[in-house]
Amino acid sequence: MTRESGFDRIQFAPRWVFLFLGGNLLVHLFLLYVWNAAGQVVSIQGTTDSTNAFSVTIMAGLALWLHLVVIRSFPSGSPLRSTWCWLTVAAAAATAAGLFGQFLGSDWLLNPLTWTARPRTGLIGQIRLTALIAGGPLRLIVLAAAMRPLLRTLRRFHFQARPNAIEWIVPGIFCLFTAGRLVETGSGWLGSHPVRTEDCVALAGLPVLCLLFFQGVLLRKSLSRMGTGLIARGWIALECAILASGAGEIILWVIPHFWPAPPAAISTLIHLPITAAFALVPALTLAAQHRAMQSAAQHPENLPTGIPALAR
Amino acid sequence: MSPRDLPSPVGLKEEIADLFARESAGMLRYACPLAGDPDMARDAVQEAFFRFFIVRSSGQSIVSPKAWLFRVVRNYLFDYRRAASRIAAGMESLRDVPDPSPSPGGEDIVDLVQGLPQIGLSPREVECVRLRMEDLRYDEIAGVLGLQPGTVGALLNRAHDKIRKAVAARMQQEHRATRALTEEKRYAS
Amino acid sequence: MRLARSPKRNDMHPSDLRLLAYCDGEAGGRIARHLAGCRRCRERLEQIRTEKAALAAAHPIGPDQEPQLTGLFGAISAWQSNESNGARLHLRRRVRERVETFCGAAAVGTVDHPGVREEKLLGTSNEIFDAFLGPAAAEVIQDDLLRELRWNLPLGETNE
Repeated sequence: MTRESGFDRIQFAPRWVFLFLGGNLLVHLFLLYVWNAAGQVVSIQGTTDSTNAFSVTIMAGLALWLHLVVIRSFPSGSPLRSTWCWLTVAAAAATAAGLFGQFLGSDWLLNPLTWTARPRTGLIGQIRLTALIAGGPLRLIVLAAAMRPLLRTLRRFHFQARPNAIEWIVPGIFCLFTAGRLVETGSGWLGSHPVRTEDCVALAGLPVLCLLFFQGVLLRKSLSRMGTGLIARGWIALECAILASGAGEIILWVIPHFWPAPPAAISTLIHLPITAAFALVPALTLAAQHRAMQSAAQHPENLPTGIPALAR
Repeated sequence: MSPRDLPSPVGLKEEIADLFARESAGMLRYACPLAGDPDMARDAVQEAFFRFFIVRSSGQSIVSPKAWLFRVVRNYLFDYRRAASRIAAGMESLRDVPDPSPSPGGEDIVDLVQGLPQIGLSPREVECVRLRMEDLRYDEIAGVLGLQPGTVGALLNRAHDKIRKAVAARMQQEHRATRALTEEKRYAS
Repeated sequence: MRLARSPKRNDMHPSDLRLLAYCDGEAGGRIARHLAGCRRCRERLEQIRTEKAALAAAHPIGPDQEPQLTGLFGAISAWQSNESNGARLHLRRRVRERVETFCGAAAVGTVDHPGVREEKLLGTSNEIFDAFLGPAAAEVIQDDLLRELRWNLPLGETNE
């Protein structure tokens, strides 16, 4: 029955997320503008499957920390304990993928694997691939696992409702997109176009993302029966994050068709808001918990008791 | 327990009567110094049991009823004192609070303890001692005060240390006073 | 439960903190085994027990209980027979406000509907808060819901 008392600053967690997101987006947009204005003299090419930029990794790290704070308030036996555990694992996978991909899975100067006389490029490639898998399809599978107890809990409290036919259109469109990507890749492979491993890893995540889209529709319908209170906002952020993930996949697929060598900043501009949306899930939950705890904070810790016999 | 598993009214009354018989005296002893007024203390105890009844009749189970009741009493009295703006005057007014009944036995030690000025126990230490005297376990005391069980143990140990030192200092003082008196009589004779 | 280590005794002998915890029934096992073979610690434990007994002796006994129980059961009967309608309405309103704040306006309609008693409403809302905010926050919200509600409890009959 102990009460958490360290909520004073954590209530601002959603603001931290927005501030970091806004600041980074501005910086990236400014750099893109300057680069474009300078006639694109410097090559800053990137591919749609490049590892996330450092800022995305920092945001993922912030999300992981917030998840670790939230999970302490859900002891074992709580209905949503397993959801928060899975979400924490997903955040850890994203952070680890970013860190390993940025440091040990790239050829930059600070990677200790490149310092030896014979740089271990094979190992670097394997680390990069593992990071892609962890941050891609593996993370999405864990997210899908997290959704199940959440939907079950919403159903238990009679919040769940059946979506109508129109509400299934968006996941349907994404399923068509997934099918199209699979066909495109398959026909390219049959037509002797080499299929990169990174493309295969990205494709492996798309069916899981389809499942997440369907779960997202159920979540959205349940939350519409709940309202837009403090609790609901955190889960609305999760629903938006899933939608944004799908939209991001579509945008990243479309861009190379019009811009053969887009700068890496484009990928950051897409991945950063998605990561921020996932970070908002625990941030808004912590803000709701803080609001609940505010009345406890009005009680003094030291109530003057004054036992006449023992303390004068 | 889900709200569907509502306890029967008769069973609930028996549960409350049983709990009342076991805990109300200790709760009243705990509440009296906090309230500064025996009637207010009784009001707090009644309020705690009534809230217990409301929460239990909603189908919720309370893991540690004793700690829960003490916590409600404490919070209730805080609300009362805040409303009555007595916090500043609380320590002064408590000197005049009569004990509900005389303490049994051990007068020598009791006299020593009651007469000690400024032992320097913090309010937290005092509350821990009082709650421990009511046979609450460390985790229950932690639940009432919003602490960790380990902190409760440390506070109790510190309180015992301070009381022990104060009692020892007082006995030494009295021994010196007795010796001085004996010396005076010898010189006089 | 983990107790802080006191620097007063060496690692061979338990500290006063641990002996006090043992005396309070909060520690055992290793300490009991040590005490079986250490006279010094047994004497120290006896000293702690004496001090505890002295503190207990300074503790007053409470007044009569019976009058309060009668008053309490009177209030419970009044609540159960819907005589405390003001308090019931007040509790219901408070619960609805909390559900609206934390869940949303739509949730109020899901949780509260005609025929639901205030106790059940309180229980359901507490379950929701427990599930979505954690047990600690749910406990605080419930305390807040029940605080400063005037149940019109009669003061128990006193000896004065």
